[in-house]
Amino acid sequence: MLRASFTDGQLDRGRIASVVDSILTKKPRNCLKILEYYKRLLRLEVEKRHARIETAAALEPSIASQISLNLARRYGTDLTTEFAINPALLGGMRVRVGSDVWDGSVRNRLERLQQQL
Amino acid sequence: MSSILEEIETKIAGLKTSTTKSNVGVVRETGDGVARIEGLSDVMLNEMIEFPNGVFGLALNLEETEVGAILMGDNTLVEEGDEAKTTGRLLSVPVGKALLGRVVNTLGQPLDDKGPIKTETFYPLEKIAPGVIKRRSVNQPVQTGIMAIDAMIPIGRGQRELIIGDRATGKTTIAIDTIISQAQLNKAAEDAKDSNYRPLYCIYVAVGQKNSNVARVLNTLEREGAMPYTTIISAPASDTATNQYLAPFAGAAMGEWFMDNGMDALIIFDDLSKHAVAYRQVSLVLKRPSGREAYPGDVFTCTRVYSNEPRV
Repeated sequence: MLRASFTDGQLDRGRIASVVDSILTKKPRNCLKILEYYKRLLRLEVEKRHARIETAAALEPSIASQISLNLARRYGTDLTTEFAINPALLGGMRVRVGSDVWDGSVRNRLERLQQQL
Repeated sequence: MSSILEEIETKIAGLKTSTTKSNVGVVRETGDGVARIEGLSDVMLNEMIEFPNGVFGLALNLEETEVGAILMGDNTLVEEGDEAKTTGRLLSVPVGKALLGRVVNTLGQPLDDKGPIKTETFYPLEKIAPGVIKRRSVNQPVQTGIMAIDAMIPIGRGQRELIIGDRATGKTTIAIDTIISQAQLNKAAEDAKDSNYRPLYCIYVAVGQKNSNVARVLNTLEREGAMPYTTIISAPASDTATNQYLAPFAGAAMGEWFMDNGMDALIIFDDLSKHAVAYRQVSLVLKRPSGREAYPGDVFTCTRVYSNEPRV
């Protein structure tokens, strides 16, 4: 099902809709559970292609677009980006794409200093 | 004064705190000493996973979208939605002569109020065992001090021996008698300054026993003066299943240090059926398919714990 939802390695809305439609019309056993699991797999696929950028303070639009461009160069153009403000970071930036995290925040550095000392 | 300041400054400059790349996941489910984590795409089997609040886990199940990990330490501190991080390290325990005379838990932390264990060496719980070529054939006996055993079914160094029997028939007693006998032989050789004698150090691994039993064993060994040659690893019945499952591996790792440094050690696993029960509990919570008496199909792979300890 998941494999049928891709065209050229990217998730295809039309294909996803047709997969869901065909399940709803055929109504196999446990179709709700199948759909729930399918939804979860789709969510994980979307997360793999989604970057969440957390900063302590709001970024200037030019810097934000620069970051998005750099990330897209690394992960491919289909990457979606989301900017969030998290004062708990104290400073710096934290980027999460899928399960990879680049942490350059002051909080992380302080925590690592604490571990090293 | 200024030299001290300079020293501190160079030390601070030496601490690198650049941007770090890590692999993270989100805890989706936790309970019974096990956490299921979504994400963690780069995790390796048996790798340590770091949770918030200083709790560590061990990745045992690698599935398509999830990772099943067993938790060490206080597992009530891990909650749904917490972020878990890979560490790239294997679980290790302190090894060396500093452990002799001590009572430690599965992670090698002291339980006996005798202060911290001063050792620089750490060994991973699981290592590749020496091959057949490296193993020396058995050519020196282990004197259990029980004449019936030494005369009829002698045990050698580099050998393993199963002690089997009904409850309360004296299995532990044989083991304790052997430890005491070894201590007496070691002491006699030390007093006679016999440099040809290879002392035999003892490691007693208590898995799933009552704390009172461990305390009694400790008392007996102290009374007989055997503790200077002995390490006790205690994972009592009140400990988590994870710790009971890992305790024999910790004992084996401590024994491997003696093996690698040209010394001899006797490891007593008391008892391995509790180890298998702990492994069954962990496996069932991880939803692995079960076999006879609900033991997992790979319960026999636990035998690696004592197959890996030859004399080299």
